[in-house]
Amino acid sequence: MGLPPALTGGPRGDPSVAGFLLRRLTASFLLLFAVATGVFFLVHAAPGDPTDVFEGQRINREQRETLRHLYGLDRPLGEQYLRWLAALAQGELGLSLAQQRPVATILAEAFPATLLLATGAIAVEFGIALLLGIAAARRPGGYADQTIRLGSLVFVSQPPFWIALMLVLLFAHLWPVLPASHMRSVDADLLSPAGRAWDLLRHLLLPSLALGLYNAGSTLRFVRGSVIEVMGTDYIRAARARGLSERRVLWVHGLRNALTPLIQLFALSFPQLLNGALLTEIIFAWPGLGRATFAAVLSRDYPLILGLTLFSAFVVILGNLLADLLQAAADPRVRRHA
Amino acid sequence: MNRMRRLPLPPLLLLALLAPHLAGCGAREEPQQGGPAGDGTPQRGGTVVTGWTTEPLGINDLIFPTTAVGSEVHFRVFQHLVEEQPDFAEHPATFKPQLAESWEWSDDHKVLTFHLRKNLVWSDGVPLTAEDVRWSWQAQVHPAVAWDSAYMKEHIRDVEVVDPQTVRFHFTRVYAKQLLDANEGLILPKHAWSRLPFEKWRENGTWFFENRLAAGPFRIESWTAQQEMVLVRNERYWEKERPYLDRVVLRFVPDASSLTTQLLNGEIDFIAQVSPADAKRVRERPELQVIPFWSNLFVAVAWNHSRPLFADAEVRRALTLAIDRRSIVETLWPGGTGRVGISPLLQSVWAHDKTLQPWPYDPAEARKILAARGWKDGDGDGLLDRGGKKFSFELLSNAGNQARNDAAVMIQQQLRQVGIEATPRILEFNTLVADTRSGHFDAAITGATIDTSLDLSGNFHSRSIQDGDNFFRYSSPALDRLLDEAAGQKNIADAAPLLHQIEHQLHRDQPVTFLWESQRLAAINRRVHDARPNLQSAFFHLQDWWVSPRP
Amino acid sequence: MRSPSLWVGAILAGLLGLTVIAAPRLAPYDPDEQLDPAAASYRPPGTELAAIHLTTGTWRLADRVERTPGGLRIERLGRTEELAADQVLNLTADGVADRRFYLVGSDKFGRDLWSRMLRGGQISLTIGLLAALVALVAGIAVGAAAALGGPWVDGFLMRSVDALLAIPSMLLFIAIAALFRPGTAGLVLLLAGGAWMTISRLLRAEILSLKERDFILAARALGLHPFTIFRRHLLPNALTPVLTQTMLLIGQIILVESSLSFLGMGVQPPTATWGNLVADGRESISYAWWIATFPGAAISLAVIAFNLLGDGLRDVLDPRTR
Repeated sequence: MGLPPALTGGPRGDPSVAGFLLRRLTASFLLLFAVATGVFFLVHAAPGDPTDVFEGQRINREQRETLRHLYGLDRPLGEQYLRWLAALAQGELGLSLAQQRPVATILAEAFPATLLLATGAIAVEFGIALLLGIAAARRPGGYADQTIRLGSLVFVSQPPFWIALMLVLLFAHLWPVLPASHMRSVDADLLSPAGRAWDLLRHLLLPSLALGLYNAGSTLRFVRGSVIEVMGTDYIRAARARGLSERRVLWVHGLRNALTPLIQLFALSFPQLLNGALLTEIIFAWPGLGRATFAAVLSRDYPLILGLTLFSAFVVILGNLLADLLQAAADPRVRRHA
Repeated sequence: MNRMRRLPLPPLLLLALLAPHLAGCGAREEPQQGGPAGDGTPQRGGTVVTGWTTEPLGINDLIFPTTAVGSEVHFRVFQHLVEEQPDFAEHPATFKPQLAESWEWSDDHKVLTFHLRKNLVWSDGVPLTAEDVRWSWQAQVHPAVAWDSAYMKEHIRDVEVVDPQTVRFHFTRVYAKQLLDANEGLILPKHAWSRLPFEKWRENGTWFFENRLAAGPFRIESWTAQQEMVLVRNERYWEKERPYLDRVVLRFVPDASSLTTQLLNGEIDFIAQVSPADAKRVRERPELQVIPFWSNLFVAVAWNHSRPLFADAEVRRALTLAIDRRSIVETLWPGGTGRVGISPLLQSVWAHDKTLQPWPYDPAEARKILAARGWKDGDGDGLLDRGGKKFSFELLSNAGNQARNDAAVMIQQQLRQVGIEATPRILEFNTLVADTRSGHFDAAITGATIDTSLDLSGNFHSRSIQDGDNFFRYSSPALDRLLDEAAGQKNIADAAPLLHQIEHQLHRDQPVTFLWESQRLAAINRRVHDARPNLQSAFFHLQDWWVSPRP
Repeated sequence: MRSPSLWVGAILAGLLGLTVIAAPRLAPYDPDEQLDPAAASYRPPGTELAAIHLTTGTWRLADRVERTPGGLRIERLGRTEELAADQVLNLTADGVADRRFYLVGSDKFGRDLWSRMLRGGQISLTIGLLAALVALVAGIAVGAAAALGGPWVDGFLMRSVDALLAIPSMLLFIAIAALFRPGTAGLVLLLAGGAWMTISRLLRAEILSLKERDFILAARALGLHPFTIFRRHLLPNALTPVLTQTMLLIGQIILVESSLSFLGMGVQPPTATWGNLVADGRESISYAWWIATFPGAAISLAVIAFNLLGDGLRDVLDPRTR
């Protein structure tokens, strides 16, 4: 896959860091606004009505009208949109129709779980990618490189849900050593802090492996590419010329210089991470954003769908911004003016 | 408490949502199958961990759609005036005192007086009185609360507080379900919850959790969404020496098969319902046990009578004959956990006519009937047609209900053998309800629970086409008369002959094709004693459960 | 053999394509056929059952049959049953004439998983290819418009692309799939709608870099119509990376389609697609591992094929990236 734009195109034109920051922030804000608007109208264009949620219950027409009024669904769409925006401006995401509690509360509950899963997955992903990527980059085209490249291709080709199922099959059924769902054991409260941490780790292992392995393939290729590129630069040649050992050149100098694009890649991988987390959380009953999203979509919980989408977009845009800033920091022209 | 009728879903659709993890009412084999009962004296203390595939939505069940697990929790935390017993296999269901220790009728049968127990207190020490009963009724019928079972209160004119222990229900008319309707809905804490105006209730689902109280045997200690809820003993519960357990943990695991794995690993002690395949794994373990009981649910294909395709009773009978219901039951409910459905009055109910036999699987006869009605394969494409139109329709079922989706797949194949094209389509539950209610459907696999009052009007009376659950639009004046007459009996036991006539007419008319009745299989670790999961509730008399210490 | 991945990928993809085109011939049984579901349900790979054709027109499947003087003794569902000779249509001297062999096992209804995988492959691959084609066309249109339409058009289109990429696609997909319930054609559009953006970006970048090259400047100086320049010079020169990208996209789309199916939001079951088959197997993973395993492996094989093809093409056509 091609490189994301923020890696190829950096800040141009405006030389001041403050101006650059301001411009990027404005752009990010506008983007978020566009996403919010788009998703709002998309959700409301769907056939049916959010009060269909109550259709399964035996409420009468009058009760239903009461509810529609209560949730503001009887107002014109434009007005609903403006009210939603106004609330949003005050940091209000509204009430979940199905759970009848603030969307913000649900987000706040689910986010830490997803963050933890993402951390575990990133550890797996970058652990594998760095180790194998650098190993492959030592002798491009060599036997190890060929094998690792093929392996990475196989990994990027796996359906993420299938990896997850196969891990469950292997480690929870055939050789039942790890828990296949949830974040903690039932009586985790009664354990010592260390015991609780160990318990959490055991639960985290399979989901992070599933998500991490899925993402590792493409990252591995990226690491390999950037290390090969760095190894060809004058800087490395100079290091070699100073008589440093090849291993030291590779691991210290090569890696250090490949690090910036890697962090950028990381910041830009949020969408993929969230996509994978959605499936992983559903399979492992991990109580995070993905599972919440799935439930919200199934119950047509419009405010919750909007809140979750907006929040995910926020995270992704934040990642993009981060990547841009890193790019700016690494760009000598910007640095000069700082 | 007549659990299934209390579920605020239309009976015929109700279990579409809950099955396969439903709870229900009425029972045949209560705990006698050597249940994990009675080897020794009950011991106090200990924790039982239970596993569920769904999760409660909130603490106040007036404003939340009911889920099976939600009711289990609500009914342990709050209570009813009287408790309906799961004993309607041999005779009509009976009632036992709960918050009310006795009740009596006025001579004209329009006033029902309850006498509350004297020692009732909420978990915060405030007495529970007749004021709470009256206020709970006010909440139930308040328009802004929009309780989905409010219609059950439509014949109650007033609830009058006579003294702190005495409360009177005034009815506008005399009918069979008066006690059930008065008893409907839990008694809620007025002193705590009236602080939030009714108009604000639906905006503050979490407020009730923050201001939670209990009058039942347990109170809610903590609740972590999507993970677990912990119930602990309510020390102020009125029943002496109860409950035995210190804690009951509810774990929420959406995936049924990993739930079973946790039971096998000993992480979980109790699952309210396991699949037949999982039950097999459970039975292989000596420390575990499966407790089966027949559910109060019948599952049927509802044919939309307003479509010309299904307007003819003979054609519907041909469809029934063309569906190999035994094969469906053997495949989906192996090991005798299901049986072919015959009638809405389940084979485990006292009023069922045991002489009635299900229609057999007879595709040849089905073809003959259809041919006699003009349905022939005129163009040789393997599908029946008449007047240029093919016998082809969409068969709906709801997402998440594996057995019904599976049945649709099997029915599709079986009907193809006689030249009928049924295309299965899976919809979200709410969408399915919306589509069937409005009549925009051909056929749908739905489930319904029967009520201990055995009143089938809600499903089969022509007046229920408008505002009931006769969404398949079956209309028979003869049946309407029978239904009205049966419901008008003051004593339901007298209705038996009428109920038999109703069964026979439904059997002839096949307004729906009854597919199966099935067992619910509760799975439990033998360290838990005196558990009696039954149709009323999986947690029935949770206060009586006790555990041996973990080995 | 400059690029082994190209060849391996092409051969794999070709084999897959052939298998899938020939699926109706290769499939030993009707993928939807349910013979004696109670007896054939959840049979592991390699199971062979005797198929007894009854005079009633129905079939019985038995683990073992034994010819008796009066007819047949069969072992079915752990029980022994006797069948009279005049009840059976396909009786032979030592049993019955028909057998059913489950190469990779059977599913809950006793349907042959191998036949279903072949059928599922047809559907999954067709949807993947169609969606990729739509994405390619849409991507080229938008990319070209952005590159050639002036700064305002460019700004608008590229910001829209940014906005679309800012939403995690899976979230958007399941929201749309659940709320709008698209049919199969809608699904193809949905999948394409989530995939065209990378093509647009790539094409736009290629055209922008080509625009300043001498031969384009020359064509422009000759007064050729901009569309002619685009058709004759820009598009053919920019196409190589775009096609490479499309190969990779096919793989991605197959993954997304299978994920949606897995969640019950793709092609509606009981239609067999690879994703639906894996979803079927999830429920029974602890006692019928084969149902999720084999179709999942098929998905991964198909994606590997297209990724190899894409990689190989890039190696051959675009040596810069090596």
